[in-house]
Formats: sequence, C-alpha cells, structure tokens
Amino acid sequence: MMKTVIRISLLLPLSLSALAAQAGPAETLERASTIYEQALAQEHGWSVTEPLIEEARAAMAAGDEDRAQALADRALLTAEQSLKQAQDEKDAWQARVVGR
Amino acid sequence: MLRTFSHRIYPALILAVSATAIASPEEDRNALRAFYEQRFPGIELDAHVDGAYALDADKRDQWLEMEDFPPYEIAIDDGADRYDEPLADGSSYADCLGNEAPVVKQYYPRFDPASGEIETLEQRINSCREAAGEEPLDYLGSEMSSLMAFIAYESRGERVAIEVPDDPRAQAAYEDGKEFFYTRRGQLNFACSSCHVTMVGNALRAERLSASLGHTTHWPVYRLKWKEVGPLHKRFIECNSQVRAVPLEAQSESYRNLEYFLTYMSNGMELNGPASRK
Ligand code: HEC
Repeated sequence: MMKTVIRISLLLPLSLSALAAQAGPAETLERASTIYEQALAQEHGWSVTEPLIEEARAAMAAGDEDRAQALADRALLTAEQSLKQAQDEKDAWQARVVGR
Repeated sequence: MLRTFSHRIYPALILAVSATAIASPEEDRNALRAFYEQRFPGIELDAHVDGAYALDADKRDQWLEMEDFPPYEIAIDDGADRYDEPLADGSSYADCLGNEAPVVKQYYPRFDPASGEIETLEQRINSCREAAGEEPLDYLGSEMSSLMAFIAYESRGERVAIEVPDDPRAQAAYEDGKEFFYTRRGQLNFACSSCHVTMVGNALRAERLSASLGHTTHWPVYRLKWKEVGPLHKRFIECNSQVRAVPLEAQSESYRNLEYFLTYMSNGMELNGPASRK
C-alpha cells in the first residue's frame, strides 16, 4: 500500500519532465503561436508575445536550445494568459459599467 | 399563496434583470455624467472637452500658450484647399456630404442602415471619393487629417448630436463599443475605463488622466509627440499599446464601435476641434 503510493509519486514527476523534454522549443513555439493567434482573433493579443516568439526562433536558429526553450516557455505563458484574459473578460467587463 | 407570490415576483425579477443588462445609451450617458460630476464637483462637465487641461491648472497654462499660435492651422488651410478642389468626376465633397456641409461633424459616427455598420466621417469622405472616381485616402495620413481638420474647424460650436436608432444592429454596435471600453486588455491588464474612469484625474508618469466625456469632441489633434495632426484612432492605437495590448487597425470595426459609444457619451457637448495636445 505504502509502497505503491511512493512509487506513483516518484513516477509522476519523472513522466512529466520526460514529456517536457520531449516537447522541444519547436513544439513549444508552435503551441505558443497557435494560442497567440486565438487571442489575436479575439482582439486580445499581448504585444510582448510576438517578440518572444521571434527571439526564441532566432535562438533556435543559432543552435542555443536552452535559451530557445526558455524564451518559448515565456512566449507560451504570455499567450496562454492573454487567451485567459479574453475568456474571463467576456463577462467581467459588465461589472465595471458606470451606473450599473 | 406561495405560488401566487412567486408568480408575482418572477416577472418583476426578470424585468429588473433585463433592464440592467440592456441599459439604454441615454441611461449610460447620464450615469457617466453623474459619475464625473461627483468625482470633480468644482468642474463644469462641459469643461472636459479640453481633456487633461480641464483638470490641471499648470498644464492648462502651458497649453493656452501653445494655442496662441495653433499648430494645426496649416492643416486647416490645407484641408480647405483640398475640400474645394473638384473631384475626378467634377463633383465636390460638399455635394456628397449633404446640405449642411462642411458643418457635419456633429452627426458622426453614424449608423449606416445599408451596411448595418457604424460609418465614421473618415469613411464617409473615402466613400465620397470612391463614388467620384478617386482613390481612397490613408486613414492615418496627412491628407485625410487635413480634410478632417477643416471640417472640424467649420463644425466648431455645434453640439454632438449622434443617435442610436431603433435598429438591433445599431444597438449591437453601441453595446460592442461599450464592451470594448470596459474590457481589460494587454499584459498590464487595463481597460479604457481603468485609466479614464477609475483613475481619472490621477497622474500617470508626467500626464494627468482625462475624463472620457469630451474624448471625441476635439479631433483631429496636433500632438507635440506626433509632430503632426492625427486622428482619434491613432490615439486608440497608442492607448492600447501602452498597456502592452496589440492595437487594432485604424477604422477597424471594433474601433468604430468604440468611437460610436464614446461619441454618444459626449452627446450635447460642444465640438472644439481641431485641438493641440502634448
Ligand atoms: C494606462 C492608462 C490608460 C489606458 C488603459 C487608456 N488610456 Fe487613454 N490616455 C492615457 C493617457 C496618459 C492619456 C494622455 C492624458 C490624457 O489626456 O488623459 C490618454 C489620452 C487619451 C485620449 C485623448 C484625450 C484628449 O484630450 O485628447 C483619448 C481619446 C483616450 N485616451 C482614449 C482611450 C481609450 C478609448 C482607451 C481604451 C482603448 C484608453 N484611452 C485607455 C492613458 C490611458
């Protein structure tokens, strides 16, 4: 009983980092771009995302995988946050209307 | 007994809910006016047509000095020449813009039943040009700004008089503009209302945040920063960009709807364009 719990908890972080390692900067960038496009389509793009994507591409082209991954992660994070903002704001704006 | 009670209360509740959900443009306008009146008890609402200079005496003095030699005068003269020049088919802007032309700024933006969209004065000018066989002008270019400066100048003293007609498409455009105004955008997570309502009157870096009443009355504007006369949508682009949001195109549908909402909020206020700003 105790053993299984320990084994599973040991396995989980391992499998997660394995996944992350599998998804290199190219895959992360592709996800970032797709989500950024979705945010743009809802007029909620953040201007920081595209420069991060471009910097990550440049790092990849220069063969600097670590830097590329770090930049791609940041691009993905800002893209995800901008899309979340778009979704949250669909209703949230109404609470701010003056006189409401 | 309980049943009759709930029968009575439900319709009342539903009415109340739908009434707040679709406040009329006039209710919105009155509420916003009441807000600024309460926020700035010593300032006449009409004074907000001067933007930040209504709220800051020092900045106002500097601005009045700038207005002694209005930096937008050349644009007005240039616009007057362009306005009088016949178009390719021999017709004129005056023929196209209606009886009162060039005193027409007070009626724009307006709902166009043919397209079902909001038509700004800039778009109207380009439609006139295209109907007369001319190329449309760049919305951010100096030729359009000059024409707008001339029409604004001729329209000075008129009061903003736009309508949201009884057409669901017009009402939807108005609601869309209102939503844009109150929606947070960008990495800094600000809505237009965050700065121009919630924080109005506060200093932001070297600037004083103006009220949204009067935000549309004085365009186009000569800005020292731009070193030229530019349109309202250029200011939208800048205000979106400074919160790290990707700005939209000038004259995009959302910006036109935003202009429609903002202009309705200034209904009844005096037109005072063109103007100068820092
Ligand atoms: C981070 C704060 C901030 C946000 C958010 C913001 N603005 Fe501004 N805005 C400013 C500042 C600062 C100025 C220059 C000082 C002034 O006139 O208020 C300005 C100026 C303006 C002006 C020109 C006023 C004049 O007198 O010429 C307009 C119009 C305007 N903003 C509209 C908007 C709209 C519409 C939005 C939303 C899309 C918006 N602003 C969002 C800070 C903001």
